[in-house]
Amino acid sequence: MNRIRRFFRNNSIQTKFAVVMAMMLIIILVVNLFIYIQTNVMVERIDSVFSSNVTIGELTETLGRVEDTVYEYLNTKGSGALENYYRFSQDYRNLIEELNSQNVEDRVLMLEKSIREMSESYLATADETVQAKRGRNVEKYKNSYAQEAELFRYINNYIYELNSRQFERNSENYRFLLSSLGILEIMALTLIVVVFLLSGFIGMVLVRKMVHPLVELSETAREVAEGNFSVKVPQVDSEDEIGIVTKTFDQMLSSIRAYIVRIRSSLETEARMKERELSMEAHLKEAQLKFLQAQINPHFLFNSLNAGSQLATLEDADATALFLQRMADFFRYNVQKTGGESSLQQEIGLVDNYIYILNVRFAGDITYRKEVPDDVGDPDMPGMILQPLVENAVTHGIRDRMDRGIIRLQVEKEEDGLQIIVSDNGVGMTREQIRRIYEGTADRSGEDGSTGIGLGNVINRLSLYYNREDLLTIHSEGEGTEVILFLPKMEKG
Amino acid sequence: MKKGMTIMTGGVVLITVLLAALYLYSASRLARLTQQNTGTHIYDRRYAFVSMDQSELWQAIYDSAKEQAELENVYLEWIGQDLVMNYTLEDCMKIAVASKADGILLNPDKSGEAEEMIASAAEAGIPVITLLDDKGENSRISYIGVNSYQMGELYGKQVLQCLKEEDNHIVVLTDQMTDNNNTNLLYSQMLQTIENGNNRNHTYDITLYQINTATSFDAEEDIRDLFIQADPVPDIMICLDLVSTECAAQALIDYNEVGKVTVIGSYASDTVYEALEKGILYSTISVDTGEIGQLCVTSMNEYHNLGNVSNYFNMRLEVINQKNVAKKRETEEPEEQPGLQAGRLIFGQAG
Repeated sequence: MNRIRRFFRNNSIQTKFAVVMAMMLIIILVVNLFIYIQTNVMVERIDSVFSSNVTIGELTETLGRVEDTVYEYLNTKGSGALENYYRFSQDYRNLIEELNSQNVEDRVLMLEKSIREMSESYLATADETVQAKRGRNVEKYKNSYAQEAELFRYINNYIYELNSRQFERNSENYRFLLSSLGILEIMALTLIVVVFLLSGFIGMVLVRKMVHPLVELSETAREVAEGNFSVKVPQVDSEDEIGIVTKTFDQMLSSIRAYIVRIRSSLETEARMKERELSMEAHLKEAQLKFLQAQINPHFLFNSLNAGSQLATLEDADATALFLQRMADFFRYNVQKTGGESSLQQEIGLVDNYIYILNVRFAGDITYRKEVPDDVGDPDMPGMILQPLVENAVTHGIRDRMDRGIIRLQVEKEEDGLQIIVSDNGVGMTREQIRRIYEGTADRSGEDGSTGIGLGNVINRLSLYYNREDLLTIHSEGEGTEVILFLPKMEKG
Repeated sequence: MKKGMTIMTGGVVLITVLLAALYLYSASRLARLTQQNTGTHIYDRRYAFVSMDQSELWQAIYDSAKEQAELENVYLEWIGQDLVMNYTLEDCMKIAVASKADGILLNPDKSGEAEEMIASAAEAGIPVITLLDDKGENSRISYIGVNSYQMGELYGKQVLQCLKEEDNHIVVLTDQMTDNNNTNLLYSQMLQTIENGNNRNHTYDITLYQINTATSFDAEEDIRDLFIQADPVPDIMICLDLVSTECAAQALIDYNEVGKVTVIGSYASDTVYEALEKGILYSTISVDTGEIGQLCVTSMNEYHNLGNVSNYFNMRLEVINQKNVAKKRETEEPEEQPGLQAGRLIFGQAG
């Protein structure tokens, strides 16, 4: 049983079909051959039923020839007749050798025995007759011939009797065999029907066994075609083509499922990126809008300042010329970098200009301390980040105490980036103010004396640029505010 | 899958069973045919039974002999009985000799050729035992039969029982072909017995009436002639064979002579038994046919085995009449084989 199961599991459809068909054909062949042989034996037996009558006919004929030749020899003493006599008597001897010689319990066979014994007596008498004739012993051969003729008559009668009985028996045998053949035919027919039904059943079972997984697979495929990728593929343990197709289909379905997950993930990522891009774009637009609103003044101021600087130079008022030049640089930078990319040193330069301008404005009251190590380099960063922080420190921290106000800018190199600290010793910020700055609702852009860029805007642009949220923290406990900005190290390219 | 496998296994088993059944059926039928066509039992010897008389008597003797022959592993063949051709006794004896039988059990007919045939068989080295009629004393090895002297005495005793006060006309129906010596001995002994036993001096006369049994139907005509032509009709009629006994019984009925003529039949067939029961026949004298049949086969075997056998076996005689016929039939019927009727040789005496 296990071997059959293994066979059906491990072999291809072609092999299975071939083996099962071969087996069915062998069974059909064997059965038919068997029926043919049995029927043939019976038919041959029927054919041979009356052969014994033919043999008896030969016996009568040969006996008649012997008797005729004896008579002919006695009549003519011809050598031809004598020769024929010897020949026919030998033939007859050969024929009677085939007859029964035993005392058996069968009337027909006992008739054969009687015929055989009488024939031997007859042939002996015939020999005596012929010998007497050759010796010209007239009386003896006449007596002998009379005895022989008598025996001839008895034998003929016995042969006739044997023939009749044999015919009667053969007829019985014939009827017996015919009836047997009839029953044999019915049995053979039954056998053929059983073989036919079994073959049909085996074929049906085989086809069903092989097609069933295919039907299940097609049902699964239909569901998949309708979009149900979570359908379970039927389990198949066979190694044939259907098994391979089913397993491959299962693998393909798994791959499709994994691919869909990947696509979905990719789409989600893409959506998030698009959303970020749109957000960046919105912030940029917002910044640009604000700068466009203020663009007229900076350009006008920028050109006017340049004109003023040149005039001051012509008049040898160098301090005024420097001031105007710094003003012009400040506004130029403002116009060029707002919303765009800049570098750390440019941002620090901008802060320097801003502090200079403020000191000119407020008569050098603001103390500005800059701690920038040489090894921090000049990494890229978004423009207009540091100036708003410093501006915030001035505006909200030391505005009312300019004479004692200290602004500190520190740049520290960290392992994974740069830490920039802008601190002041001003009035400090409340928790509510800090919260509102984080939430972006404390933007005071456009206020008098401001460049127009609030801390909320700075925080948003930083998170969009670095794709991180925690880059800017504000510490303020009572007096003084410390804004810590972290610039992560960016991979080039 | 399991159900399918069960059905397939069942199918294969069914096919195997059908194949086996087909083969066994075919083989058994052919074997039966072969067995029918070839005798399975082989006998040691083959004896020829020769009797032209195929009456119930000889059929019973043959059946008994056949039964005994089976017991002693001998094949017994009644020569000429089942053949289409009609053979004479001479033919049958010649066939028996030519077919080299191991022995011949012979019922000699009335013809004189029996002795010659017995001599021919003896010359060919085939032993012959004669039954009920002794012929060829010099050539045959043994004789099994009855003693004519005893028979004559029994006839005489039966006649004495039937004699009337007036004159008694006694007729003995004799066969023209019967051996005169035996008939004379029987006749003389019967006369002697009647004379010695006739204490009341009844008057009687005894006539021999010859009937012809050589050809068919003659016996019946002769007996009817006796009833028509005889004057007076005999008081006592003695028949020496079954045919004349049955004819006499029928003639008594036909000519309304029942009770007037006392008939002693010679054979014990159903007809004879019936006639005895109805009082048509007076009595019969029989021998045991079964004993004759057994003895002839046993004696022949004894001769083959020992080289000699007793020259003469005398069979016991038995009188059957109306008183004991029923008992006799009762004892015989269970022994009878289907299709066979018991025959008894009866020597009768009219009263």
